[in-house]
Amino acid sequence: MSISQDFQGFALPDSNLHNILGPLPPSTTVLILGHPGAGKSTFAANIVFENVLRFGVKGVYISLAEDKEKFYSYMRRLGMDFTIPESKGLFEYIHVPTLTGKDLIELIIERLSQKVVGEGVRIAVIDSVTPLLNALTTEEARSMLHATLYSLTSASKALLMLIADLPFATESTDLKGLEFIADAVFVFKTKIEKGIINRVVEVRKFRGKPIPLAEIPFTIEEGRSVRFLVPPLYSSITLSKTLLEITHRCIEPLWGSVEPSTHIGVVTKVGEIPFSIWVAIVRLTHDYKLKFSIISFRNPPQKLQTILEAAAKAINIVPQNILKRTLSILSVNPAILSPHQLMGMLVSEIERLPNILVIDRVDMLYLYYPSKLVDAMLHMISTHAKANKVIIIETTGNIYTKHQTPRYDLLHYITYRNGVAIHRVKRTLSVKPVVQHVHELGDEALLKCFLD
Amino acid sequence: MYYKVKNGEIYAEVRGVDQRLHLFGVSWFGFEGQAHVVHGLWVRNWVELLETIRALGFNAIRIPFCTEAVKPGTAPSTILYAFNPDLQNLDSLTVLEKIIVKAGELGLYIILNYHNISCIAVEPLWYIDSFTEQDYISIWVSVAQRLGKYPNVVGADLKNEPHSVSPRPRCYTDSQSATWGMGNPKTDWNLAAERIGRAVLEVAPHWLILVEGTQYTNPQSDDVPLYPDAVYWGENLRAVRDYPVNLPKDKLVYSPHVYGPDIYVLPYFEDSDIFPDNLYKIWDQNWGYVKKQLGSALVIGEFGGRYGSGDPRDVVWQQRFVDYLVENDICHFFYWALNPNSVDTGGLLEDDWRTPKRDKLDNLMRLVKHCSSL
Repeated sequence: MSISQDFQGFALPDSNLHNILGPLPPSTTVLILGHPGAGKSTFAANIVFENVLRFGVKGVYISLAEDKEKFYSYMRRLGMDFTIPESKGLFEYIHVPTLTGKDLIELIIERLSQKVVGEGVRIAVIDSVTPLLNALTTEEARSMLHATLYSLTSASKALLMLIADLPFATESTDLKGLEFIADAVFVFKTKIEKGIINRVVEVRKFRGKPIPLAEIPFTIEEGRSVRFLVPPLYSSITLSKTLLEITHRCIEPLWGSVEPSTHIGVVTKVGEIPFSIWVAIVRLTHDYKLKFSIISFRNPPQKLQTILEAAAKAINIVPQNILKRTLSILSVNPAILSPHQLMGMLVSEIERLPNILVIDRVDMLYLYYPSKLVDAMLHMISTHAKANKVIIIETTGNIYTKHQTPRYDLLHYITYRNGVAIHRVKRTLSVKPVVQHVHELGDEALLKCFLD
Repeated sequence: MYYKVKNGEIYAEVRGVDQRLHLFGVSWFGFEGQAHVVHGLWVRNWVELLETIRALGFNAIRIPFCTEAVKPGTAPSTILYAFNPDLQNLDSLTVLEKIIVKAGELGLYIILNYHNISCIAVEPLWYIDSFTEQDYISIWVSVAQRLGKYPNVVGADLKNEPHSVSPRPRCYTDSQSATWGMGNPKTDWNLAAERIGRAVLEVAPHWLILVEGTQYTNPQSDDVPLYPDAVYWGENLRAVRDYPVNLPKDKLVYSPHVYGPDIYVLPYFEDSDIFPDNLYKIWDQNWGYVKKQLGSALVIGEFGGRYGSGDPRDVVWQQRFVDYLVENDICHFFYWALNPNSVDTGGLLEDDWRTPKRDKLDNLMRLVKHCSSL
């Protein structure tokens, strides 16, 4: 397959990032700068892997550090098997022997020219240019390196990615003017917060286009490579005429008919939600043959499984018939996970497309992370869920911030009077004409209804 | 190509000659959900997956779809275009069309199944508040118009698993549960299948019409000796005897869905008088008689399970089920599913979408071998 006339550009890894920034047009030089281990090589490798296969063009990865075996095995773990494009004649990994000074520069430029001009390579990576820059003065760099690289990419309509190292704890380095010839600049950083690594990429420059988001958090995941933690565009949230509303006669008074993509906030001051809510989840799962996942920030999987079993038994359903509808029951301790990793995990669970995702004990997140971050994170998760028509049932211990409730389409508030749970529900948003209603029901009545 | 039923068997009429056809199939799902395209394209190439299906010994694929997926302009998700570059910028319907064409080249027949309206979950009836029966028929007509021209498309599986929202006897009259033979055109699936089926046949007269069973039918037909309440969605054809679907006999195929303990534990799995040696009595009662006594064509639209990695009883269940099909020469089936990400049954492929599950396949191939010798 060859690139057609109406080719818009090369794809960025992760469709959400691509939707925000747009494609990388031909004749582009990208500078990828970053701390060691921040994800520079993975990002560049991902662009090569995706695009050589997608457009059937040749790519080359020139490495001054890692040997081929190490690179291939690491990238395979992240879901990129470079033997696939290699076997199709679309990819070559060149490990440059250790040279110094201008010999090294001459060799790199010679190899690159041979590949791009002689063999028609359209995507090239040099990992990294730091030893090259160190061997040159700014003037030499401008005359030799910049001029050659610039003319190579523009003449051949290639995409050239130059990786440069940024020492730990520094924010910049002398690029010898390379940043001026680059069309796009990405800076990969690791930030240590509370002993946990967070990864972010700064987009400093992108083909003269306005940059909507300057700093984007991301994670690197086994089997998936890089995941940028940006919400889907609101325009990707479609409303279908053919909505299936999920309900049951005992649930109707509280939640009404639940549209796919509804975010239900179940707030109860005693922490754990009453048994009747689990019964409701089991009832809906059973009646509609739904798939569901649970991620809890407090309860261990075995406890959740025991609750589900008890809820099934309470309404005469064989527990196995519910447990087999589970995609995941995960317990995550936020004390040992960065907010970014946690966000990646939640998005990845939504991508498995359960009908219902229970996010249990969100109050634990407020305990470990700044509340603004928790609200922003869960709003983003809510947007992902809406784009994928996943119902979220979030359980939490209180209303902690004024930014918490706006993410709920249904606020289900549970208080206790003389030890008896009282349910109050406020519907805050609906695709139907907005109905504000508050309904109050005793837990006993709710449970009795299910048992009838 | 014209597909027809004669004496309870399926034939393809090619240039005036009837050729007996066996459908040894597998369901490949995804078009019926939020991906709006068959699954697995995030790890493999679509043509390679079709070739895998052929190489495993199947000659047919059942493709479930939902409303949005067959409307022009719907963008599929979950495709890794690095592995599927020729699907770039194509809408779901065009991807479906490409799959059908390529399947034809590989000698694979196709059954299309309108799996659900909402792309979310299977609805009990063929309409919901926001989507009428006429809307449902219009979708089928547009699908038949667009895809009827491909000779390897055998037919239309009209609706997946009509079922009930309340237990017996409330389900017969709750007006939200599918029935059969109640005389209520709003809930009687046998009557709706006639209306939808006739509309499809007007556009694609060469197709077969597959009518699935329900969960419950009517009080008289469900008054059976063995576990009257214990049926799977889409399994119950008890009412065919008294209320056959009024479609041309040479076009009509009944298509029950039959499962074991991995999908839902029914009480008879705990009854040693039934499980496993007398399971055949349940199957005879609920749908097997439709072929054995009434002589109608049967295509098993879905069956499957984890074959040991879930409920340990499933291995015996699947073996007994294949034994039953062999003994009764029921030579048309669609195994659920190719997809390893089928939550309750698992798939015919491992999670890599590459390695076949040999034990499941060996069991199925006993049936293929038997039927091929007929």
